Amino acid sequence: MIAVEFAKQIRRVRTWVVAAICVVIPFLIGLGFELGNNKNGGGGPGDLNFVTHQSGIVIGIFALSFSSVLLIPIVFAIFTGEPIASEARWGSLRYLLIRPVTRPKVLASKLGVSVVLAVAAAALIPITGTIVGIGFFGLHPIRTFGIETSSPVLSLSVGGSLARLLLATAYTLFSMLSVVGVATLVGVATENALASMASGIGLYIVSAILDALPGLSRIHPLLPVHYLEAWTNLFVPGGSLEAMGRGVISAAIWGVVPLLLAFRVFQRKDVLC
Amino acid sequence: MDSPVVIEVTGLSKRFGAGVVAVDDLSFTVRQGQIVGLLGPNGAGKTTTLRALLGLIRPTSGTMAILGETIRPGIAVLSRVGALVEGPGFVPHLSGRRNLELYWRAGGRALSDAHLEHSLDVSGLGASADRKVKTYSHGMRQRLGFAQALLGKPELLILDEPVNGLDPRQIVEVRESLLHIAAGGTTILLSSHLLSEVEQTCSHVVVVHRGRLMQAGTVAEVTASVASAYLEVDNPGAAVALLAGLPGVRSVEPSPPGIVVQLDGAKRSDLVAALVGAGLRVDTVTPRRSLEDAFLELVGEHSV
Repeated sequence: MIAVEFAKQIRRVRTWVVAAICVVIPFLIGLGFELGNNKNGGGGPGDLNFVTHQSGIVIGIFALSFSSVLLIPIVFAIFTGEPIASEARWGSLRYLLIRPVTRPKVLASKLGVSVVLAVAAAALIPITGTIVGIGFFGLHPIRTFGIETSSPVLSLSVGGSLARLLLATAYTLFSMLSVVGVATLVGVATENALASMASGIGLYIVSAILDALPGLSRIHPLLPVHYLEAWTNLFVPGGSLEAMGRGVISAAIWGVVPLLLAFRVFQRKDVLC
Repeated sequence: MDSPVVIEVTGLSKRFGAGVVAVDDLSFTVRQGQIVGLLGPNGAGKTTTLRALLGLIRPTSGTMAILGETIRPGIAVLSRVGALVEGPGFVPHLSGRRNLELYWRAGGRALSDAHLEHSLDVSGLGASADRKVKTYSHGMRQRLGFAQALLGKPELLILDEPVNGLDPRQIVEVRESLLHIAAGGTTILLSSHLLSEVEQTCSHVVVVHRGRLMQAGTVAEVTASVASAYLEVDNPGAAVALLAGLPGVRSVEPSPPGIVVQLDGAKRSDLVAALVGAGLRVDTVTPRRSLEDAFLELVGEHSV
């Protein structure tokens, strides 16, 4: 069933369009920094403070940072919100279910394949960013600075910085469990591809807005985006990993609860499409 | 000796939401080798019944069994059933052949069991089988849907409105292939709102209306139960009075320029003999024994 589902998804134009976007965007980021040509300048997204031209790896880090709030959630929402909905729209879901394939197996296969495709597409972003960056700026160790000039400098070897970028990417992708959960649940409940994608992305937009309102600071730790950029601590001198730990727990809860609901809804629903 | 029971539906009811009753206490039996037509107007609950049989929707009450197995979602016995429900459904960006392969493999059985080439031959799609399904016409999709339902030589075929949207030549082809398939031992349950279709294809008929069973039996039984005759005579008034008193006549009504006689055992020749014996002249005697009459009468009686 997994092989069958993979065969259906891999030939879709959509799959390859998303993959292409995930390659083009980091390329543009690398190009932007190259054309900026401000070799002495520093800076970076969030708490990051780099000399941008010191190493190609920095472009990989930037590509991940720029895309983690919107592009990567969109990629996950597109891939995971749609499989049941599009099968329902094609009218082929009923034939799959009377093949028969049990409903948990149908949902699990579709979920598994769509997550693998989303992870593969999203991982292209830091990978392409790093490769493009190396092309422009070479492969060198990196040094990062704290926001304050008095703070210490963090020096990372090539291997060390690549390992941290890998960890940061894994953390970001794991955080997407919340999108996967909500998009899957809405996709199963409504059989509407647009609604499920919009709910996955909407979850991020709404919680990003709430997360930015200081008056709501009490609920901030409950929001799925709150710990999204906790990985930047990996590149900050003296950065703590505690927030990443909380982020893993938050993502697991935001993912598992709606997914369990989705399986329950799908098992009980009358298939009328 | 009755042949084995293939489908047993007992007291099936399905209510959607608060008030909509799609199927109401429906029971019927389908035996091996029969071609059974589930006949009723649109909205009679035919498709709901078929979907419930396939485990796609949960009945509100009642039980169903296929080949002795009580139906629940995804039950293994469905692998012995081929179905075409509410039109074919295929992955549009893959070829017809690829769709059938993936459909078959999803069930976890080897492709060699599927008789794929045979099914594609029957569908008559030819070289088009290797084109993407989204380029297919409605008729081609329907034929591919048939081919899919026939994969692996199912013991039971469940077809929802199989000739819907086909042109007359294709309808004849479908009818012939159904008779051919049934001759090979496959039991067929099909739904239709087209009476002529059921009459020409089916051995048995289950008439449903507003979710309820109206009548079930062989096509001959159902039509005979409401057999009627249309007569034109030189003195309709006298004929009505005379025929109403005959044994085996249920009712007589004027239907200018003639009269319609609902029969309950009497033959048309009995009517003619009585009329001639009384000195009346008979111009026309026409049998009205079609399923259409039976159907309209059954449904009409219960319409609100």
